[in-house]
Amino acid sequence: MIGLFSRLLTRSPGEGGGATADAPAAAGSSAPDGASAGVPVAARRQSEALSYFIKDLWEENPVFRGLLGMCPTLAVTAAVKPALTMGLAATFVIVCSNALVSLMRNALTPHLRILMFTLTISVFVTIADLFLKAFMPEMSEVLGPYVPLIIVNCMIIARAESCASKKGVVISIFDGLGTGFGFTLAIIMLATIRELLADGAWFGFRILPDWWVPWTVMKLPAGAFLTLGFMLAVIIHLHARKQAKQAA
Amino acid sequence: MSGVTDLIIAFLSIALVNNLVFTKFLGICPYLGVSKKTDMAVGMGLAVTFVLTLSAAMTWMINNLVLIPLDLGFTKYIVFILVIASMVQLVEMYVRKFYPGLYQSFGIFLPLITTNCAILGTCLFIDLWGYGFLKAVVAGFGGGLGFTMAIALMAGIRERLELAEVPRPLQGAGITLVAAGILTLAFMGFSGMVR
Amino acid sequence: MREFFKRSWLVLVCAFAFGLLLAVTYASWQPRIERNRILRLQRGIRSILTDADSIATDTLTIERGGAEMPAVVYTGLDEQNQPVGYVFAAKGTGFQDRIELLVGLGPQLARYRGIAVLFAAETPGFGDAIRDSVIFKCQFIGTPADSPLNVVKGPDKDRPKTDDYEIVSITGATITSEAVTRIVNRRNQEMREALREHTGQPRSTEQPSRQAAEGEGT
Repeated sequence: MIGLFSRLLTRSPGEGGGATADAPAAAGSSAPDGASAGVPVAARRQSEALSYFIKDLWEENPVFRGLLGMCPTLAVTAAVKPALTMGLAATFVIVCSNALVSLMRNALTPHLRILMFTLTISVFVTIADLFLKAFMPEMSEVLGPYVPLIIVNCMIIARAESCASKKGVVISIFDGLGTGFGFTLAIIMLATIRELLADGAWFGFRILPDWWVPWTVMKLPAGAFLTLGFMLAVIIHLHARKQAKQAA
Repeated sequence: MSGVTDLIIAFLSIALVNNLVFTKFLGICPYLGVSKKTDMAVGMGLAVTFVLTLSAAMTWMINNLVLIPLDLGFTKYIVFILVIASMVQLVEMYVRKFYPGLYQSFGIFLPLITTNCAILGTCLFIDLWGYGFLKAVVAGFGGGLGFTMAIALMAGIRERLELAEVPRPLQGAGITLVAAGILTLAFMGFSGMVR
Repeated sequence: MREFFKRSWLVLVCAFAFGLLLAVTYASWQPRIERNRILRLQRGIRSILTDADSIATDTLTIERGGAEMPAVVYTGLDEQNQPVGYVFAAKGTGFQDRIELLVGLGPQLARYRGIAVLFAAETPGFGDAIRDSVIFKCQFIGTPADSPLNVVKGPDKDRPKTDDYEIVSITGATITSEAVTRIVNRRNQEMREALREHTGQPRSTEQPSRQAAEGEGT
């Protein structure tokens, strides 16, 4: 667990370690100090919350940059529809659990911390699962046990640990939204590639012409691994190019 | 089908055909993280096997003897994760106290296991497949061994990859995932073996 | 004791609150979940017994491995309350995961009325075709149910399909097709005796012939 968190905190080595914790502070201090003193506290907090949101959404994307939450990323991305459902379910869980953890952050004792995180997360996961079963039974069947597996999605517990247990409720909620949408975005990108290649379709609608021969392997586990592997390569390549540009 | 064959089939099914890592995508995080050195990977795998066998037995008993009769099935996920977490704690304390040598070799992996989706996932799949008690324990054990095999194989491949010239962007997680994809293709050969 | 509460009051409070929250959620959504389950089952039954007006549910006792166990059978009834067919659930292992089917028999129990897939997680693009391959599923309609069906690979050019007991497998999904057929055969075997007693069908009418089947073919 500790290793996981330290890995999380030191991700994106190019940005000088501790990126997650430092990022909003850096964003906040980018405004001149004199000016930020004049800005009302609420506005400053708002901008901090927003910067968390944007940061988590893409630059610190949980899947591409953090390599977190791999198991649903691979398992439910054979088509866009289940991926979207999964993304939204995870977003719901992370927002709620972040908010709750943040509310009780002052009462948390170190040895009960992880237990409380897990408990909170699993409650919201159960609610999400019941919701899917009640209102989207087909989807619930497709996702199967991957919905309850959100409980052990390291992405959520990592956010609870590194953000929600330290920051206020509003920031935590925005952080949850950012992470959740970032996760959704990532798995939808993956699912888009896989569904296009496997079915020539997107969201169940066929869009590629008839001569397209479906790549069935893309629907199989092997396709998931390969697609994610190459996507990571592309993302890392783009990131490296951007950094090189910034350095130049 | 006699009882023993049934158990053997359940074992093979979860260890090879429905391998946790390659077909169910469970335990990918440690799979990517720990699988750099073969001995580390085997240690982690054995720790998972140990905890998984115990948790499969515990969660089966709690689910079938307590939750289902009391119609509390909806609290399943919470109970499962708590059982697994406390199982990990207990095992850690026990091993540290009575088998310091063993603790040296795989104790460090134990705290990592609570958030390993392979454990919770297997318990959930066992519940979904409606296995009996013995079958559940065997499946837990087989799942753990299958996981061990997967990360040990992967670690072996990664050790070789260290020496290979991998394009810069693919280095690290990228090439690991691609290698995993190819391994998965190989494992597909086991599909349909169990009837 | 006090120390204990001081350390863990949060856990206790949360456990209570969470328990309450879950109980309320579950209680309010449970009826819907149950209805979804029943609807899915009914859709499956109706897809087999297309001509049924109402569906009755009975529990029979079957024998498996020397032990007696309950088995549910759904009887489709027409407007005159005459049975048009019987449907029962069957499950087994497919190529990758479990397969759950509904199997329908005609009123004389001599021929199949068809099958419906309740759950399958077979290879997408290949084995998954059992869900929506009409051609595959139609082979079970009107097929004699008195002895096990066999799976053959593709229609043979030299030997046109003459055997009623042959099921042509889905291309690229032979094992899944075999699994489905095996599940159907095994469950049919188990259910036959109990169903015969339940319906009061005498043994002698079991010889399926083209004429006898006319009443229940589709």
